[in-house]
Amino acid sequence: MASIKLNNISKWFGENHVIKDINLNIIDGEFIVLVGPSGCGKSTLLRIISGLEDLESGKILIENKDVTDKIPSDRKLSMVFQSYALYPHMNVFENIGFALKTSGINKEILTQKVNQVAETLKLKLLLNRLPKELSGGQKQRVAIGRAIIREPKAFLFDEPLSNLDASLRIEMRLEISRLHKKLGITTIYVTHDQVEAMTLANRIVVINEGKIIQVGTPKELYNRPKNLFVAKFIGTPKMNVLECTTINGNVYFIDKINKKTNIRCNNKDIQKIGFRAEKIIICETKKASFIGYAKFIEYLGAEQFIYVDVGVKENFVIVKEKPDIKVPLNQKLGLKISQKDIHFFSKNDTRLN
Amino acid sequence: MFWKYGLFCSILTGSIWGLFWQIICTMIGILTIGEKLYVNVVPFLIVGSLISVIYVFLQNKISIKFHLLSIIFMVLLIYSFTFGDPFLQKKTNSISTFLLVVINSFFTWISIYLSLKQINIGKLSRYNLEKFYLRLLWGLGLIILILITLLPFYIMIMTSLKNQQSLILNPLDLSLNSTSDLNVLFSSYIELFTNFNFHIFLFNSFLVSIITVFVTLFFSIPGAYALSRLRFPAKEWFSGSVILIYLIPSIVLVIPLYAVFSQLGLRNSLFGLLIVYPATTIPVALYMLRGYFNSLSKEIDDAAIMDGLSRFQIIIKIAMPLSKPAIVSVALYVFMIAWNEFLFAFMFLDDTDLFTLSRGIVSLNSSEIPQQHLMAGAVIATLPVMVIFLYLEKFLISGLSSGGVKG
Ligand SMILES: Nc1ncnc2c1ncn2[C@@H]1O[C@H](COP(=O)(O)OP(=O)(O)OP(=O)(O)O)[C@@H](O)[C@H]1O
Ligand SMILES: [Mg+2]
Repeated sequence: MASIKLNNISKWFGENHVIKDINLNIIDGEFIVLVGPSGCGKSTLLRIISGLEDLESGKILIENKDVTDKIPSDRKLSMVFQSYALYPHMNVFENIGFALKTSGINKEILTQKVNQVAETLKLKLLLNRLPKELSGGQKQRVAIGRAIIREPKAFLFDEPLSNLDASLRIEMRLEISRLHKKLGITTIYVTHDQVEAMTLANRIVVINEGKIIQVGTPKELYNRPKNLFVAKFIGTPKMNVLECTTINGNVYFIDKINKKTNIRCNNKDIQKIGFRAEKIIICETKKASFIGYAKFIEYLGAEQFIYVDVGVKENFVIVKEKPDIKVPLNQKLGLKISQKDIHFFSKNDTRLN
Repeated sequence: MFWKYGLFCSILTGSIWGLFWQIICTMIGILTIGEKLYVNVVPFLIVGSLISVIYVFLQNKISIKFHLLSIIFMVLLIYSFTFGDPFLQKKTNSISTFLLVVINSFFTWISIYLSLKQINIGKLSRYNLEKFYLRLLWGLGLIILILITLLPFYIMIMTSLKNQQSLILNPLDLSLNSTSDLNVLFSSYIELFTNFNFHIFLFNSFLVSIITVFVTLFFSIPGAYALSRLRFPAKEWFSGSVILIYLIPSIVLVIPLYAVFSQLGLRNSLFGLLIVYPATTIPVALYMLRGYFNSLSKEIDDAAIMDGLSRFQIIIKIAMPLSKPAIVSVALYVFMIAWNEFLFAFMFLDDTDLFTLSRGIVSLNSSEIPQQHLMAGAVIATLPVMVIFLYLEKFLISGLSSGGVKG
């Protein structure tokens, strides 16, 4: 259990500035998720925290103690790797107990602890197997077992579920969440799956090109994204974003001929407008914020996605609706969105409202 | 095109195999019976072609009986076409010649059968044609390869078991002596071990080779691990240039080293060899092991670091157990290099007590020492490596292939 502070962390790989001046305060017991596109530096940041990578400048504090120059094992953190990284030549028992055995613990206590961990992770019956005789999910549980047996100050997970199939991923996600509730240990979790991020996190850290873009609770990030990058990154389907301009406080979608809407905005800097698919309501054309033609529909059982042509070339607006609503194709359709659900972005993609 | 027809293929196969096996059998006959035999080309060409054409026509009726009948028929054909004297011995036939002809017929028939399977007389499809030619070449290549490797071995072993008298009488007679007295049969070996210090040579060779293996592994495992895992200045340059030592022929090295080692008093000693041998084997060992370590997951190392292991402990507890096949194959390779090394041993060692096997065998090479002793020495030098190699072969193959994937 520990707080972790990152102060002005920077990392270069040769000419490549991978981590750019990152500051982050992680509270004791918090579940922090790092998300971002591939290659943005999530793994590198995690490895810096663990001590596997050294850094050019900046400080890492665990429980307010500077650990920047400490070797990984002295930081008392555990890491779970994407590839599981189990020791192929040791069975499950030895894999889980390896760290303790290395530290020279009494054999009886070791056995007792390994059994306890195996109990928690439902690995009791697998203790004598080699990693190659385990399924993906079982391997991942062993990897987690190896992490928790050391009773670390914090867990570091690097995309632990990305090698699993969809249903197992959901199951393991729940298990990790449950484990965090039970043990209450500070956790830093890297993923590029934003559903995982939303469901697991106390706070999400969005990273792009080595910089922190926004830190906040899942709700904050979803409802008030700080800029266009976060807005597009969080949420499925992606937020609808259209280029626009204002004339006399009225918003126009930009195309060959600008399309007038009934959305109001007084800010002159506005360049892009965004709104989430589920916030749009189909209504009479008279009351509509803007008008379009439904072009095709994706039916998903619990909901349907309607692709609406609003007169902007190659840029459909996606509307999420209840599955039982009948929407006529290629006919005038009024779409309404309330003013508070609209996100305005400036020229440099930052949020205006 | 005529060469696309099954008839041509069968005649070609028959004449090639007929001629080929005749040459082989003549050779075998000369070496084992100890009589003068000659290659008799034309009849065997004709018989082979005839038989293979017959095979192609009748191959639908194949059975054990058919095989037997064909072989018997072939023996008869050979005797009739050569007028009863298949190997031009100009004398009445003996049982051994008859046996040779039977062996000849058997192998020719089997070869024809294997190369002409499913070939019909008419024009062949492209697939069948390619299959046929590949099969023919593959078979020829395989048998020639086996013969080239086994023949010198056979000659070596048989010569070493002969006595002076019979060797002078007929140097080409390599049949086994009819004596059943082991002391007589192995007299060359007994001689070597009692009068020529071969037990010392053998011991020296083992000592030098094994120590070389351990010294090489001791330096190259951590070295290769560092090259594969750690970041340090000039790493790429270093790992690339390590192999450059092989651009320098050892004959160039041996002369300056001779001078230096003489002055340091290292020359006439096994210790001197133990400096030179690892120096030549470590680069290759480094190279091979680095390739293998590169193919091991780096995340496992990271996990071990998180679990509190030092780099040194990782090498012992993680890297070495995981790279057992590579280490075994490197050890085997180094052992063979050290065991077979001749140049440095020849230049450095003066005392008979210090000779390694390769050096010791050369010391036999004088006019007073009979040839069979030399051959026995060669067998003594070859056998240990062969035994070790055959025993560890499975490791070697998996080691080489898995190290080779990512190099
Ligand atoms: N050992 C290294 N040497 C040089 N460059 C590296 C090294 N490791 C990572 N990088 C670079 O650093 C950047 C960040 O890599 P990192 O692995 O942290 O990305 P990531 O966010 O984890 O991506 P992913 O989601 O694909 O795992 C990448 O551009 C990568 O090319
Ligand atoms: Mg990563």
